[in-house]
Amino acid sequence: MAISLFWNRLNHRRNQPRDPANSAHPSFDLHRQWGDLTYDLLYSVLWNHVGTKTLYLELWARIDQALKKAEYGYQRHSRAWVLQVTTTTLFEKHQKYGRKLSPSEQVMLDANLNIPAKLRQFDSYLHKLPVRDHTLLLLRDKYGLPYGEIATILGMPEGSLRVQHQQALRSLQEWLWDRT
Amino acid sequence: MNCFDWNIASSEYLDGSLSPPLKKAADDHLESCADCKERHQHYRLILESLRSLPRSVAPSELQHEIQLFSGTSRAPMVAEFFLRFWPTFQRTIRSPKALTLTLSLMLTFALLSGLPQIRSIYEKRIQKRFQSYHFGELPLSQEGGTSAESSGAETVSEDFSDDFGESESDSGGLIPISSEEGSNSETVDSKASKVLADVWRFTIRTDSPQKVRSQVTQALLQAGTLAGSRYVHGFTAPGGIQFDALVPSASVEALQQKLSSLSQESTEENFPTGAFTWYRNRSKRPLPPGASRVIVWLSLM
Repeated sequence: MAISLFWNRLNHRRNQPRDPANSAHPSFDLHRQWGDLTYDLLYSVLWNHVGTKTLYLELWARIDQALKKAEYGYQRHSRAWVLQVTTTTLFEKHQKYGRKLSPSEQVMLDANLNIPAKLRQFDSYLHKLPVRDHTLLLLRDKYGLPYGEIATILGMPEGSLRVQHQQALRSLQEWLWDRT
Repeated sequence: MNCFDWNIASSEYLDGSLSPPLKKAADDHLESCADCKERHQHYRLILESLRSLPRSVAPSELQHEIQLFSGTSRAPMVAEFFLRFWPTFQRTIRSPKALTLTLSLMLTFALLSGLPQIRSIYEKRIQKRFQSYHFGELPLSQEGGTSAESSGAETVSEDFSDDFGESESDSGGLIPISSEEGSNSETVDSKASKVLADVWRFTIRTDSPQKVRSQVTQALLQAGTLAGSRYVHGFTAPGGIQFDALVPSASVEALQQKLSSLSQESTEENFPTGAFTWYRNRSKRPLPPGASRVIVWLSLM
């Protein structure tokens, strides 16, 4: 009888998600605001569905833990705070969860001389970039974050960030056009 | 503005954050330089491609899983384990009976795998109790003022008396020795059990313990062994011979000098120096009042 009650209770809790309006914990709100952004960033860099799902769960568990130590930073600049944890986790784990280009894909990217075809494979070229450059381009140009916020997220001076952004663009430009 | 300057300023130019005079200079340079203009077009294409990349949305089942554990106090690893295996668990076990059976199996497995550890903990506890009752001794350093007495003496760790129980019947076993204080001190009163008793340990290193054995016994008898002395004639243990006797505390110093002279006699033949060491500590084990326990170890090593 007791086990049956316990079992039903577990299922009941599982089938009844929390009401966002009554959420007491800040991680719930953060996840509601920035969950999709973090998922997209993880997927864009890792390029791997399974790895992204695993790391996404790991990331939000980590954010949940980090919130216990954070005092007020996440309230005033919640996006920067969440993305800071996200990028830190991503740089640590991208080797484990990220998809690597196979040798044949690598050869194909190097050998393709047709520029429209290269532009169609823009994702692959982007994936060839180092993970920090890749993240920087996404944050700056895909999501349109200001340099000041990206500098906070990545822990770099703004000037260095601009130089790195320029170098990343130059690398892509060389791969796409200069070798034709 | 030349090509080098434009390369440096291109990031701000693409952002539109250049100051008006610089922007005009950059526009003029792009009009005049075909290479830089082409590169600028390429950069623009790249940025447009980046902006037009499709955005993915987190799957709803993941959102649901995260909502379940967000804000709770579980460790992330536990949450991950739970989230990963909970659906499988739920699919596999569909009734309370199956759950009961699974839990009982898990409990049995845990008990079976944990039994050796439980057994060893139990045995260690018994051994600790036994030792604290029979051989419970405290080092002098735990006593405040008496630690200076043992600081000069070399400590010796060989002592095989723990390997032998009270009921051991050895060749040199329990012998009744009558002395002046013996009749009074056979019963140990409750006050004496609270006072820590002195235990003296003497070690003589020698090549031939059997030769020295009788001399040590004689020295112990001269010191006035009390009733309760266990091994006045010594017992043979691996590595040497051990004596265990109760003597009046007043005669310990004389016994020490006697043993020291014995060791010097044996040293002339066998060992050059350091043949005699001693130290004293306190024991919780109750002794008759005015008595000290003396352990002499004739060591081959």
